[in-house]
Amino acid sequence: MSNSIDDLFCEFVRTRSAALLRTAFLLTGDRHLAEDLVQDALARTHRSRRRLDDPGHFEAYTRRAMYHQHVSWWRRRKVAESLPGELADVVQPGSDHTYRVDLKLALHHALAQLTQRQRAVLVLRFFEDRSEAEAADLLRCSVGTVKSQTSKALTRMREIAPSLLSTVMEEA
Amino acid sequence: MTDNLPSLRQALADLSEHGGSTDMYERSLRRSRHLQRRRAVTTAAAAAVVTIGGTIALVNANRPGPPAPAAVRPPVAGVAPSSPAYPECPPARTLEGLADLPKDWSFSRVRCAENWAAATPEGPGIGDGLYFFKYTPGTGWRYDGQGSALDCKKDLGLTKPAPFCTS
Repeated sequence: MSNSIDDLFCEFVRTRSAALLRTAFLLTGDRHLAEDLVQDALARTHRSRRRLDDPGHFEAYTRRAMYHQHVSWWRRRKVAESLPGELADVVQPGSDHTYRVDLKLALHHALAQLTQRQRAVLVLRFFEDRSEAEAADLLRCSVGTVKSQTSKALTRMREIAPSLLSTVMEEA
Repeated sequence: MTDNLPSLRQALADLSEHGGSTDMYERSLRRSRHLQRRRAVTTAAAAAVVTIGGTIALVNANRPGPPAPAAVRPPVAGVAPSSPAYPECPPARTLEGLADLPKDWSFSRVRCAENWAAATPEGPGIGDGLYFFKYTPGTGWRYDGQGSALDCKKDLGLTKPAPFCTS
């Protein structure tokens, strides 16, 4: 194996783009914004690739850049969030997936009502399964802030979409 | 504890699938090169301004005659009649009290332009971002957000380039 750092970066991007886009979509609520966010984060990683002493750090660096950029104020412009069109095709009343699709739509709507930071803590805690300490580190804030933001986010979601906070997974 | 929320977790996983699977390699390389070019152009422009300014200053210094009128002197914050009054650059300690800094973090440097202050954080696990504060008459300095690679005009509304912006 004589992989250069550029080859390793290429391999990282090709294998991890989809996972990064999934997180970015939850953060932005829009596929195009998600691609922009991942693109910017990957560009930063590319510029810093020689400073990262281990290719294994590519993903950590990219995710940190994504969360950082997402929470940063200049991305707080209000953009109409949109789900890709295929979601409408999936919704078929009476099908086995109806309940999950309803939940998904409710979540998309609810996430749009949260602040960027509240949204980020939910994604970190309940999608990426990060600990409070890890979330605080990624968002560059205190653990107390993560706790309070999580609490506020869940309270808000309970008002908007109570079904999402069910403690049991209902069957369709 | 609210940690176990299966419906929320399932919905997040389902919703995330809409992120797609676009190949981001070429896009990220293009963006990286674009940022690199922009930085190079900015640096070159700054160097040219310094060189030209230095040359003009040298020529003026060696030319006999009356001193330059006050109108062509560089504006001083809060004094130039043609520009709005801008506040003094606040000390790092003041800004530390306004931002929700993680434990063991502090600001090592504060740079100001017009009504903006950019503070460089220092502490464990630090990244490349800056903390931004905006001054508003009446309310004073307020924490505004964090970021890096800013476009001075577009992102901050500044009329001139600032040292903490990339363009």
